[in-house]
Amino acid sequence: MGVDPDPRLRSLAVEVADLPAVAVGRPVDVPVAVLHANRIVASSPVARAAGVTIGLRRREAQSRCPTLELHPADGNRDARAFEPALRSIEELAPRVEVVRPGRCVVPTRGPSRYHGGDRALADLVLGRVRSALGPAAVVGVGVADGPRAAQVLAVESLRHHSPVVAPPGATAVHLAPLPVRVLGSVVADVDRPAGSDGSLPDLLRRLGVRTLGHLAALPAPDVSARFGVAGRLAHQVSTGCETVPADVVDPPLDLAVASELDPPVDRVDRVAFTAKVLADEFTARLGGRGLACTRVLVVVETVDGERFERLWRHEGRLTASAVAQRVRWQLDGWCRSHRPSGSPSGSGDRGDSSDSGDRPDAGVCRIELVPDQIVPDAGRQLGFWGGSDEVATSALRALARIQGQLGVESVLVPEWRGGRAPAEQIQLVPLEGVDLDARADRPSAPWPGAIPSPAPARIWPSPRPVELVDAGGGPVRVSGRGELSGVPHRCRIDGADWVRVGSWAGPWCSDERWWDATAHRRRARLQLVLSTGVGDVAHLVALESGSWWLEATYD
Amino acid sequence: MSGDRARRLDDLRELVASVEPVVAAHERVLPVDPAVARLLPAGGLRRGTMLWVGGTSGATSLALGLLAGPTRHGAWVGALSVSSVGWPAAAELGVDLHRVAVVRAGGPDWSVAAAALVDAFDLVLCGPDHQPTRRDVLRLAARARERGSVVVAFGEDHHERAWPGVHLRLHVEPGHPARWLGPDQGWGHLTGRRLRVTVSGRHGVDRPRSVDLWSPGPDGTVATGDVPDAGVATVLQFPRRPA
Repeated sequence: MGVDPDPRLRSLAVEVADLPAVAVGRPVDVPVAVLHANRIVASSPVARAAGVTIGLRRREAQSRCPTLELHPADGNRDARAFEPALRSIEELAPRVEVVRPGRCVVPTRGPSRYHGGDRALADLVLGRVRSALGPAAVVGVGVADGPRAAQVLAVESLRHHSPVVAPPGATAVHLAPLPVRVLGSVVADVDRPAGSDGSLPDLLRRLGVRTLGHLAALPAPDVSARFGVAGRLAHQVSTGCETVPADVVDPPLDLAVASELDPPVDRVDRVAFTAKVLADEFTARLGGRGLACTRVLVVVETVDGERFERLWRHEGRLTASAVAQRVRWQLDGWCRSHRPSGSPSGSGDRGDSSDSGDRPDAGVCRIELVPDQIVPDAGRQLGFWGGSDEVATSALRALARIQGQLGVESVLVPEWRGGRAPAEQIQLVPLEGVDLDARADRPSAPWPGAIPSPAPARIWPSPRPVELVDAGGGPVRVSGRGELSGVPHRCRIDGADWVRVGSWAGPWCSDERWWDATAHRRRARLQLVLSTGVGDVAHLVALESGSWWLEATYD
Repeated sequence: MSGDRARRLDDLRELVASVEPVVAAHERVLPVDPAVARLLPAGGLRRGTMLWVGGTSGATSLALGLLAGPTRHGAWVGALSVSSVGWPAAAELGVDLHRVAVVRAGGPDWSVAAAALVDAFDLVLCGPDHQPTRRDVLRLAARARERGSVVVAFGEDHHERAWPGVHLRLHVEPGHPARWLGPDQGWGHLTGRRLRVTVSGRHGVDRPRSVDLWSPGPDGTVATGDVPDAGVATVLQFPRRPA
């Protein structure tokens, strides 16, 4: 291609397949899957053999594999599980850059020479990571002329069960047969996140550019002109000519931010809270100069004089919440590494073993964030006059203040989950666990079997008992075929006065998780409009195991 | 063409209004949906004021309907002591849930959280889970006036005592029966509801006036219209089951 690859950029990447499923820590023969926003994000090999693939809905997955164990996604758990792997790689090579739990990149120039070549280094790393993570983990290792190409090859090597090493200058040959889809995880597009319609790989595919070889054959200036920064990056990956971006700036020293914690803090969530404030300051300081950070060094120091550093890499740019999340991952991984996995509460030195998993060994007295690689921030168009964005910033700052005073769990945001009952459709989740830039929208497709809209304006946190009788005074029941035993005539909520039922609709019957003996629920729901002296009041009542309950009110 | 031109003129006026350099806090309003705007004397939620939305039935959806316009225009809502609010209903009423944060705080924490929310949020929604003391409410009102945010409190009639000194009071009339349309004896389903809301208060309302509303209306949001018009009627008519 005319441009020789830069030897400084030659990298080795490690990818752990389905780390979230490995992190759950269940035996190898138990089918396990990890769920985020009602979709499977990772599954164990046994579950995969039963047909549980990534992207399935919860219900579909459970019907394919009834014995499937489902666990909610938890980035901190993943970070803890990945930590031993990172430690084992650090013994072989310095400057491990963590992309996310489950994926990291190491520059190979020095280590390869020391260990006897790329292939030897790759085999060594693969062996160490496998023994660190145990038999449940499937590990892939790739070596290529650039960090992004190495990540692509590491994913590819998962299928071969051996490292994929592209010799210097031959990266393009190794990448050529791969579909453009693999670019999704290594080329971050600010405007169109991966996976969405119209993301770069999707666009390329629809234009007929199906493999990286096709992409590499296109002239670079044309790709640049048509697809912008993301296109240029993708083209560089596919040709194996990744460069240090010409616009990378040597970070001035004063962009690092540090916070002394006095008194020292010994709870991870408290430290993480401080880190969030610090991360805001960090990105604000960079943003003030029109810069964005792509690699950050997080330094944590304890009162015992321990110092724990880790380099975090991001293929797009690190936002404040992403930086804070990485600090949290680092702390979680660190706590785990100080407690051998064989004895989770074995360190009796602290006296209380109940939450010792959340504590570093000694109080943390200092956190520092050092930008390691920064680029000019091409940025995003803010609202007119920056108005709406400014409002959001101040709102988030106020929420952080409330979290500081009342605890992290006190601030929640609604998130769409989907479900038949109104109470299942939206769940309030802690702000900490939500990426505010990528929140799920209201699903456009109707949920089969859901109660038709409008939704009730009040959903009672604890259901109240309801008595519902027909004109003869006998209780109203619903048969197995969904037929009412009588016409609802009067009803009484929580022992109050009897009220006449003006009109009613239903029943909507649901038979959920019939394959699971413990989670199985059969319910029938009715909409009741009660004629009270002060107008109609509409309620949603549910019949479950012989008694009616007030679920929600159309207030 | 003239309609287009008028609309562009309106847009420009709106733009001018939003970029005018110096505006006193009490002159600014948060834009609300047109049906709800009929209730409010300023045509929107006047910044720095406190509203009470009450009634035996229908107060919650009316309060959520007030939030719909501002959230879609970029305002953030902090909701406090609202454990029983049905957020799917809020979304159907037009609230952008991406701009809602819910704070769980009861007892002594309530005033701390409320003060922090008023400082930074355009809108603060206070639910009936916690009954603040008179002093807390007065302090909150002063703070909202100073910061230019709007406090919307809602609940049933007996909760209203806890909210002295509100500027505007929206009350769902018990005398004019709220009427749900849709279901009959076992068929159909709830579709819409008629409400009469009485507006009273100290800001721009010299005497109480009543407005008839759909909440929710045919498209799920708060709507006006005295009698069901053709569109509403087709939505609300269901074929009767043969006897």
